[in-house]
Amino acid sequence: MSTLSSLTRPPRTVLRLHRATLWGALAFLALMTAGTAALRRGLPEDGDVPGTLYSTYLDYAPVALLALPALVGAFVAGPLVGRELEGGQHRLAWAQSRTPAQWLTARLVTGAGLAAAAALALMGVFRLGAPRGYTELMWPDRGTYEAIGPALVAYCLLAVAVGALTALVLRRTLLAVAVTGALTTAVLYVLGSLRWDLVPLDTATGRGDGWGHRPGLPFDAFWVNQGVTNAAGERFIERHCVPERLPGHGCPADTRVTQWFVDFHPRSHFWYTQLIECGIVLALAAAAGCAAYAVLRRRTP
Amino acid sequence: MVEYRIDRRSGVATYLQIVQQTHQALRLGLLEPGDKLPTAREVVEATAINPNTVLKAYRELEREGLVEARRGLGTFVRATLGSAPADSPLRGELVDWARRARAAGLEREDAAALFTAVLDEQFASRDMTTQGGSI
Amino acid sequence: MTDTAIEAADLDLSYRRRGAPALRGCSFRLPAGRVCALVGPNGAGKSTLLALAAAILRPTRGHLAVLGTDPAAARPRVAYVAQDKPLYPQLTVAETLRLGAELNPGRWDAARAGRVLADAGVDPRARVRSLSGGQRTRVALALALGKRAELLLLDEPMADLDPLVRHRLMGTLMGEAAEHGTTVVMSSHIVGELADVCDHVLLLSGGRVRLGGGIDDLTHAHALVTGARPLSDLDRHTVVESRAAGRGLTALIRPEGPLDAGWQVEEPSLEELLLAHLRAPAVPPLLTPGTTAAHRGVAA
Repeated sequence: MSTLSSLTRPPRTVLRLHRATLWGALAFLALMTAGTAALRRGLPEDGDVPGTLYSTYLDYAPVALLALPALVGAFVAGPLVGRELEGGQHRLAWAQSRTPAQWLTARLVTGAGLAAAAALALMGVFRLGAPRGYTELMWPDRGTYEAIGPALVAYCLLAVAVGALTALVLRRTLLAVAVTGALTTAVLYVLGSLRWDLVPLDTATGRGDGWGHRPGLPFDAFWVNQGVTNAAGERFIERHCVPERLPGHGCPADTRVTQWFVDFHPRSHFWYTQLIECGIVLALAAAAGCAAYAVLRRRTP
Repeated sequence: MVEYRIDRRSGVATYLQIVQQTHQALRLGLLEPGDKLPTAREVVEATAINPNTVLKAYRELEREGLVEARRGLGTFVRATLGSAPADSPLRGELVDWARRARAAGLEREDAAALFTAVLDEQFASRDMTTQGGSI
Repeated sequence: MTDTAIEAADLDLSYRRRGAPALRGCSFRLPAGRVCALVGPNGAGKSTLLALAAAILRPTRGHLAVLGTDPAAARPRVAYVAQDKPLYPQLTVAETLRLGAELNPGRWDAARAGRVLADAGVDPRARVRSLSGGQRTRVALALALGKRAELLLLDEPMADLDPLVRHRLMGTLMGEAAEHGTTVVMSSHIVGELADVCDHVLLLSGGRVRLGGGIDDLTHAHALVTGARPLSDLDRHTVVESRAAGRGLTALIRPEGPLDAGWQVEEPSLEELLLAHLRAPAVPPLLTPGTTAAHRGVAA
């Protein structure tokens, strides 16, 4: 018996237990691929005609992708780990020659493999359905950002670890599923709000008020702040201060515009942000995984 | 293959029932020297009793000299119970005695009780409870 | 094979920090090769004890040795069937056995497992969720027996089964024990049927061991006495339970010395013995020689 087959044996055992779900997921994936291809066909290569089904798809598809980690977490917290604990099958599994730790490892490995595969597959479908040039402009948007880099995979792995941990701690399937979904979504949302602070901004400036051509500013940059400066270098927004100060906004004494500025993230920051964010997410996943093993060890010898 | 019937309500210890039934089988000619007794596993699968009980019974039979255990092969019958054949002098004497008892006015139950009492005296056995005439 | 199947010393288990512990100060020794009945009322701690020996639960306090080592190390040599006979409902019978083979590499005896099922004509292609109660128990037992374990821990294996199925399964189980000298521990409420099968008994009540030892040794250590005498005449002996009988009384005692004339003495049945101890929780527990745990502090 080769080492490879003995390593892949536990995941194969787990896969056999969840055949029905896997076939369902595969069918769903096939449906999504076919649907996307169908929508994409017959449309201009780079066009996105407003008001069509395709346009609606483009609006919602990226955000729908964000639901994947919660779904993965639900699968792990539910059928993969939680249901076995609630239904008592763990007393069958732990009474064989494998230790409970090995039982958990088999499930985590299988869950991680499936999660990564699902994420990559859906990312592929998304790319298939996106018009040419779409990602060049839309890369900072929530949903798209995750779908075109490793972040989605990392969040799915986090969901696997969190799902296993909550199922072990709560021991009730429905509750574990709900908590996992909530936690994963919360992390996704919070990190998504903080991600653009992870890397320092670049700034472009130029003479004038900025209407028209802005040299030094790439077309695919992600604008974070923009405005004008006066001679002293104080920043303000022209619209708020010229010709008169609008209530509720701060303006300097001297409102003569000398330069425009844009704080932005160039495309290259996409990768830095992705890597840092993935690092944080994977560290959280590792912590959740270790906690899961600790909870298990406390309960069984 | 001889089969054992365990009567749980009889008050007789299970291993004794096996010993007694083996004696019975020997007497009736169901078992003859050289025959193999069922393995402990076979007895236990059929009767759902403790395997140690069967082993205890077989040890008792071995002690009585009726069977012998051959390592790796099983337990085999070694000797008969020495039951008297139909035309032995013992039987003839018994027939005489029974006739005389009847002539003396004894009822069947009285004769049986007398006979049992004498047997109990002569065959003072180790543990065996005799219930209502064991022959 | 070691000569001690299970040894427990001052075993405690509490499921919650507050509230009554499921097991307290549980101590006993079960020699190998026995068929042991684990009896007691609901909530006595029988399932907990079996789960501890099977390394499914961790004790709160105390020492537990299974087959000479700690329960986790003995896991491959111990087979356990929980009370609800857990199985994966979505698998077929054949796949369930294959699961057993995969989870017990190098220890699986497919022939032994298959034999348990073949006798009853269970269709290997049937899904577990479609099986009857008796068939599910058979599959669970097949998994346990295929593991070629030295110790079988069965939590109420025969509950909910009709008498015929019960008889056949017990026969199969005893056949296995006969052939391999397996130690079997079975918990049950039904004392009567266990008396024929088991040669050792452990009575648990309120999380403690009340009686333990070979059934013959235990019944020989007690006497059922009846007589028209006062209870004080039995002061020298340990009285488990006494009841008025006409002008005198009848009592279940542990004789410590010869009995005066005037008492009619009988040996109690196992059922009488167990029930009397359940009704008299204040009586000190009795473990027959050879079945007490080794002194605490000495490695098992």
